[in-house]
This record gives sequence, structure tokens and C-alpha cells, in this order.
Amino acid sequence: MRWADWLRTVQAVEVDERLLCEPARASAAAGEIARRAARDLPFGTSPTDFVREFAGLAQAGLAEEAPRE
Amino acid sequence: MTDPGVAGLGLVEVAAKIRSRELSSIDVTRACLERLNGINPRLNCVVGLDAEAALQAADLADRTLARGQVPGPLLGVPLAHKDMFYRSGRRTGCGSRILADFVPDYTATALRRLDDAGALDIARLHMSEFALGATGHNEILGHARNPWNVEHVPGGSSSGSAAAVACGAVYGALGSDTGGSARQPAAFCGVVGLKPTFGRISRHGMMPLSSSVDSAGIIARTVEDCALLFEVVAGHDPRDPTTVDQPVPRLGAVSRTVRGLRVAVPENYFYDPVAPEVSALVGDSVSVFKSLGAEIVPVRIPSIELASPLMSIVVAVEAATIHGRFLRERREEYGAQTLARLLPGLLYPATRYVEALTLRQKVLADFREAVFSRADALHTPTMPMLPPTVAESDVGDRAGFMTYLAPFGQCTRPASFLGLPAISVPAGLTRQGLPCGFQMIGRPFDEATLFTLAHAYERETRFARLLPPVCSETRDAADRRARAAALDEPRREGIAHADTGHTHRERDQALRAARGPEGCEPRGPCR
Repeated sequence: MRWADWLRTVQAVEVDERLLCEPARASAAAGEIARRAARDLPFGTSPTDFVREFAGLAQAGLAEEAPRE
Repeated sequence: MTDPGVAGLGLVEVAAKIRSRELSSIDVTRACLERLNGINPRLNCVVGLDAEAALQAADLADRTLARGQVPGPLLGVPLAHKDMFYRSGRRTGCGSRILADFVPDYTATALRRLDDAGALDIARLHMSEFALGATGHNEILGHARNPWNVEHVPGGSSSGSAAAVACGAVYGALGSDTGGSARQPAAFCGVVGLKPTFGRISRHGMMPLSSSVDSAGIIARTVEDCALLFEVVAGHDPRDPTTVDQPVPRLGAVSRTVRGLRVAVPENYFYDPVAPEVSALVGDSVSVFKSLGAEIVPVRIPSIELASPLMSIVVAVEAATIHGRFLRERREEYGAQTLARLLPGLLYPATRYVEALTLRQKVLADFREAVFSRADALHTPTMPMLPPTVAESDVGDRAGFMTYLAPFGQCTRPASFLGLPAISVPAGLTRQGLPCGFQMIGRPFDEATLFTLAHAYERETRFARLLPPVCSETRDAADRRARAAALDEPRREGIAHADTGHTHRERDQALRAARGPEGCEPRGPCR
């Protein structure tokens, strides 16, 4: 199924082929970036791991800041 | 308009003078309204203004003081905000035709906190349609202009906020920042722009664009002003579950010395490429930090080039989801570029979206190791280029428009994607008199270090006190310029829309007729 048809049937959005050429290319390019970068991640990593990383970094930063206050 | 008068003051100063009754709120507000009315024909930075209500609120603030009541820290200070913060009973157009008549029935937490501090909210300010745009173009409202040179763009999407604050027409403004929407116009207009840590400022009642990346933003003339506004609006809000209950730095934290702080300077990505004049001015700011006793640490940051493309996936998918109903039912009411930016979000498979969110952890871990294990903040340009002209950057939805726009977010998007706090600070003017800014990125919830560094730089250089030439133009010159702009307007109105072949005016008339008298969208894609 072409993107345009998929959009029309699944998303119920009327399609302008001219507008969709670039997004289709961008989608493919972004997929390639994600695939390359994902090779560095251990199996089972999930989006919520970002929250742990973020919180850990905040804690480390605040602990480091404290003595200077 | 030649004497800056109270417009030359900063927010902290004017708040103190109102508190001490050296100035009255009503006089200050009257001066701000006059200035807004004076600059708007040239800058198109105001969407809505109710002078009578503003003066009544100012009068009430003066009477509060006269009664001897304890004033809030912003009592009687005129502010105005990007037209995407909801106020109960007031129109909030979000820079769009679709929500032009949207009247929310509740007030954004950020606005309520400013109200509680005594601030006045005197106008709704211009923005890119649905906060999608880095230049300040808006096919629906007309394009905003840069106060330093009206032929150039002010940056976006908080275009009106930056332009109005730069002119001293208000003492501070809320914006939003998803990919740089507060920092980019701040850099182009020569003011301070803050994107706080993700979770710092409540987004309850702020138009959503991308739920996992959006932040409120703050735009002010000086770092001290920005820090005071931050102190008032930041903090946990039970109405926004993404806010975090972390201590908010007080204004006193701004004045610490920078001696011994470590400032990282990137060896990769952020300067690939940067306009030579930007590079020179931003480089000068590094020298200032060095002279103030900060240690400069060169760093190479792995994976940083992934942040922007991965963020594109996340923002595209989330924005398209939020706009799903409008894309299906009111597609023809979008501006062409906004529509062309929203549609790609419908094309990404769910697995790709989750992949992008997952990879955030890797990019952040690499950033932490490269930057924060060795330094307190990362110093970069805010924008890799100078503000382009309105004409040259009016790319609409022409083939390759995203390739043209991508560099606008090159330096700002990494902090957005990683949820880190970042501040843009004026770094001076180019030979053509256009502003340039540098950016500092800090650890999560460590805005205090950013304020400290930025304030030390500002004290040393005093770029923050400059007012753009549009503020000192004579009335004759302003009239001449307004006439020239008016001559330009019919040409814009006469441009045929790419999809329909109708002119914008014809399309507006047809849409109004089709929608009938109610026309408004009671809820929009908004919380």
C-alpha cells in the first residue's frame, strides 16, 4: 500500500502527494539513523531508562553543587 | 519614543521603584502601552491588547500599595506573553486560524503564579502558527519583524515575546521552547531566553506541541530579570504530573562569582558550520569567561549529532497526534508550512518513535560523560547564523524547505531533546547592527549555575542595556516605514494559496462562511 493510500484509509487524512514526498524520504532517513544508533544499546533498553539517567544526572549535579552554596 | 524613560529600566529595577512608590504602576503601564502601540505597526509583535483592562489592573496595583498591603515581587509590573498560555475567558489563538476564536475556561498555572506575584498581563504576543517555526513567519497573522532591522526576522516561535521585550515595551514575557523557540528569538532580538529543565515549569494551560519535549520559556532583558521570573513561575504543580518537586534557586544565587567554575567548549557539532561573525562574537564571550576566572575545558561530545534527527521523529509524531483531529477535519485552515511540517508525523511507524525515545538515554549518557564529568556548563552559539531577511527566509512549503530550516535548530535542539536547562545570552552586535547570542547548557535543575555564569558575563559586557533603533526612530520615519509595510500587505494578501489557487483573503472569507457564526473550537488540541 502506498503512503498516500495508507494515510487516506488508516488516518482518514486527505493526501497531497506533493507534500508527502519529503516526509517519506525523511522517515526512511530517520529510520536508518535510529538503526545505526540502536546498535550501541543493550538489548532490553526502554524509553523509561532515560528518566533514570536524567534523575541520576540531576542528583549528581546537585550533590556537586552543594558545597559551593 | 526617543527617550527610553522607564523602558530603559529592567524588570527588577522597575518592580523595586513601583514597590517604593517612586514610580506608579499606572504610569509605567501607560508608557508600555504607548511603546507597544508605537512599535507594533513596524514589528507586528502584538496579537491582542486591551489597554483599558491593563490600566485598570495597574490602578488596582497602585491602590494595593497605597493601602499598605504587602506587595508581591512583581506587583504592578507590565508583562505580556506568547498567545498560547490560556487565561480563562480570554481568547488564545495560538498563532492560528483554527483556534483564532478559542476561549479557554481555565488559566495556565504559569500565568496564575505571575498573577499571584502581582504582575500585569497587558497583551497577547505574536507567535509562529502552533509554535512551529524558527523564524517568526506566520501565514495567518502576518510575519513578525526584528526590532534591530525590520527587514530581518525576529526568530521564532516566540517572536512577539522577544521583539516586545527587546524594545522595553514589556519587562518580560513567557514563551515556549520545544526546539529552541525561546532561545532562538532571544538571540536574534538581543535579549535573554531561558529554556528551563524539563519538569521545572508547569505546562498546565500551555498549548501542547510535543508532550515529551515541550517547556515553557522565559524571555527578559537581563539575566537578573529572567531569574526573578523563573523564581516566580517554577516549581511543582499537581495539575502537571511532569513537574518535579525540586528546590527552585532564589535570585540571590545569581550573584556568585564564576571563579573556579568550568565552562566546556565543544570541539564538534555545534560549530559545524557557524557564520564567521557569529563565531567571532561567541568566541569573544569565551574570552570574557576566561578573564573572569572560569576554567575553559575543550570537549568532544559523542552521539550529539543524533539528538536533532531523533528529536525530529519524537516531535513530529507527538505533534501529529495532538493535531490529529484538525488534520482530518480542518486541514485547509492550516498555513502551508505548518501543514507540511505536521503531516510527516503520520508517517513514522510506532517502533521508530519508541526507538527515538529509547536512544535519548544513550545521547544523554554520552553528553554527561563528555561534558558534566569535566565541566559545569557547555558554552555554544545559540544560532549558527545571523537573522536572515524576512524575504530570503520566507520559504513556505517549497521543496527543500526543511533543509533550509534545519540549521536554525542545530545548536538549541540537543538541550531540548535531553531535557537540559539552557540559556541564551546577548553576545553583542554584528557590523550590520544585528544581535548575536551564545548559549549555556547546564545539568538538570541547575539553572542557578547558568544564571551565575550569564549574569557575570552580562555585568562585564552590558549588552543587555542596548535598545534597538526601532525604539528611537522619529514618528516621521516610523510613519514612512509603516506606509511601506502597508504597501507590502496587499501583495501578501494577493498571493495564491498553493493548494487551492485562491488568495489568502478569498480563502479566509470562504472558511468563515463555511464555519458559520460559531466558528470557534472550544477545546482544540489543548489540555
